[in-house]
Amino acid sequence: MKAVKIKDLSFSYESQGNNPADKTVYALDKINLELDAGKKIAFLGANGSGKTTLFYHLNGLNLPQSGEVEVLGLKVSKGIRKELRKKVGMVFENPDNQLISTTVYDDVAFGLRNYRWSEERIKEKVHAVLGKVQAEELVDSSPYNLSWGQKKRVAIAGVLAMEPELLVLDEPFSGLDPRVTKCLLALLDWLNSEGKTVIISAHDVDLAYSWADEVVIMSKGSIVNHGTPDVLHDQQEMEEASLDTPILAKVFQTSPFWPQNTAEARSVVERLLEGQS
Amino acid sequence: MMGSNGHMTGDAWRPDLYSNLSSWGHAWDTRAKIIALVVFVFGVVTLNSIYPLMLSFVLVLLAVVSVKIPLFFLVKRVKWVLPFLIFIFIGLILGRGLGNIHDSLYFGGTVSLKALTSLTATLLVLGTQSLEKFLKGLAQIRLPRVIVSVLFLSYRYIFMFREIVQDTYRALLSRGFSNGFSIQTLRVYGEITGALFIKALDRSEIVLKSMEARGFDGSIPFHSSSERPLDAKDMIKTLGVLMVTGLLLWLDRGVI
Amino acid sequence: MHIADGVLSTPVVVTGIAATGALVAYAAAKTKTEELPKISLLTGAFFVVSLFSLPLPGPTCVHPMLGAFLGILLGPKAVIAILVGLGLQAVLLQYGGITTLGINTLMVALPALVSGKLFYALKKSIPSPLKRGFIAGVFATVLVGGFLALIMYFSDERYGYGYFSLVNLILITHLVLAVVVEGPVTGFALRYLEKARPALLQRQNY
Repeated sequence: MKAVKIKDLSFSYESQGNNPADKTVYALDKINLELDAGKKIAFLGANGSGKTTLFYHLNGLNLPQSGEVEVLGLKVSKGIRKELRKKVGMVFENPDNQLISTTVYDDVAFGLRNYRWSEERIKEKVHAVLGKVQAEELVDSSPYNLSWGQKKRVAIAGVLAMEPELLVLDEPFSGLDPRVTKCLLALLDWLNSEGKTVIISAHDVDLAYSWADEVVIMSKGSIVNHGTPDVLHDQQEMEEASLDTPILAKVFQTSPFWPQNTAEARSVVERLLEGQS
Repeated sequence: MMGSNGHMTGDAWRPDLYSNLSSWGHAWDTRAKIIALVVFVFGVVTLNSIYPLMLSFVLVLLAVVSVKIPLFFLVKRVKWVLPFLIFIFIGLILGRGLGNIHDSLYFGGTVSLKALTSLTATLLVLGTQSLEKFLKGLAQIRLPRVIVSVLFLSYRYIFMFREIVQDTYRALLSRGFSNGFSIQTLRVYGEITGALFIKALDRSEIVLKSMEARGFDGSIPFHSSSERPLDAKDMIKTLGVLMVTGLLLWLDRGVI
Repeated sequence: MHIADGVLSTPVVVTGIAATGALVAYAAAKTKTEELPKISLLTGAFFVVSLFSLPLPGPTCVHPMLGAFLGILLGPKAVIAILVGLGLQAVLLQYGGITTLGINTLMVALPALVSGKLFYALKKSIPSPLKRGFIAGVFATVLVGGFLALIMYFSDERYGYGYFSLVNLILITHLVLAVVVEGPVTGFALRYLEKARPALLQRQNY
């Protein structure tokens, strides 16, 4: 089943700057894309390539100006937005833009109260999801006083609480230290193992290469390539998209091997060394 | 702007510093407390005679002491009103001459007592639970939906804006800015103001998107009932305040 | 200027509450759901900026009001921002009073609305946002001073007796602050907005 089907999607908006040359920004240009359900998908592209604008279409924050977007079988339009937002959870890049309540508890409960859950169910759910993101001790804290990593976890909890089928995270790893990044990756893997489709955007090509089942490369509002992480091997294409090829791809580019993570790379090197000896 | 500005630093925005103590005031339900406060303050400002006013001030001071809020904290938080009250006295005495000094002092005294009693009573209510709980209490006494939503959302972001301004100021100081009275300083203040408002507007667009993404439909939902229902003790405390207010009004009307 | 409880007479206080209630109801009716975050975050910015300590000659400082600025950006909805902003000042800093929240709001909001309209009305004759902002800032502050003096006088004639009366003091200080502080800061802020985000300075729907 397809989680996302996009056909000839275009989107533009008026620039807010003072430079007349930048009046209209053509953020998306005739995008065609289909994404399988149940996969881990990474969108890569430079700043301004259109990733976030595209993401906003997935839960109706943007409505298509031309073309069609279908998510989990629902055609994105004004009338189905509330239903769509129950199924598509969106985690924003800057958690300060998402954490709007005065306590963590209330913020995680925010979405559930919008959908008229009872306070009893809410209490159970809030504690459960905070436990999943290892933030239960923060339940009565003010979001303002949390560290960046804590804010990110609470923001994710606030979206997870709504039990989405498709999870979209905009630059989830930005500003995180390696330890927290590892925890977050483990959480996303677990969510995917529970059947959720997980879509992220990232600048870290190496992370996307090792983590994703599918990769989408965007540049200047268009999709440059889409497929398995092997699509990241094309150095010229990556450069044109203002991206770098993954380190492992660079190291092994003249070899017949294409390890996708350090464990696979180690295994390849060990076999090569065994072969030599 | 910032370094010597007590309004922007540390605990300036925390009247609830002593909210984690334990007393009859801390145990009083927030909604009931707010209602009692409003009735009491409205009653006090309608008093005309100095003796009931003195009594009301003494009672409130005793109440503050009994809920264990330190008096130095009280003074720190209400002292902003003192220059204004002093000006009232000066204006009255200089304006009306020494011939009317008794009336001027009496009038100035009644105004001052009303102001100080009200401020003290307000601090008693604000200081005996967390600010977050107080705001929720306000939401639960049926203020208009728009006001409550704006109140909660703006409260959430004032701390971030304060930090942005403090960071900006540090950056200015690092490049030799000095905070004296000059057109240059006013220009800097103006530009910081403009920049902060643009940041606020930009952020608000994304905040709206993030709220809509979680089903926001126009009002920020709150817990529909307080953590515990009102009990007999809350009712007794609230009725007690109402009765004291009534007594003060009765004394006031009977005293020449 | 925040008026504390007890300074004004009961009829003035009640009028303030009623008038502010009516203005807020009008503004709330004009407010769309999607505008709530914008009003809220501008309220937050207003709250923070109004706590700036602007230096004056000598050992004194003053806090800007910036009501005109809000009137220009938000139009009638500035009333909501001002009410909540002043309410936050009362709650967090104990500035102002409970009974006087209505009159304090009215005192800042009415001049804000008038100055906002003036700013846009002068656009053809004075294109410069710096100059128009200066005029709007001065105008708003003078109106605030006048309004405050009037309500003090209506509350009790004693506030107005003699050359050194509180009423005269209020009028003089507001006039000086209008020209020396509020006008320039508002003008520079609007010039900044015009350079960075000219679309923000579109006429608000009154």
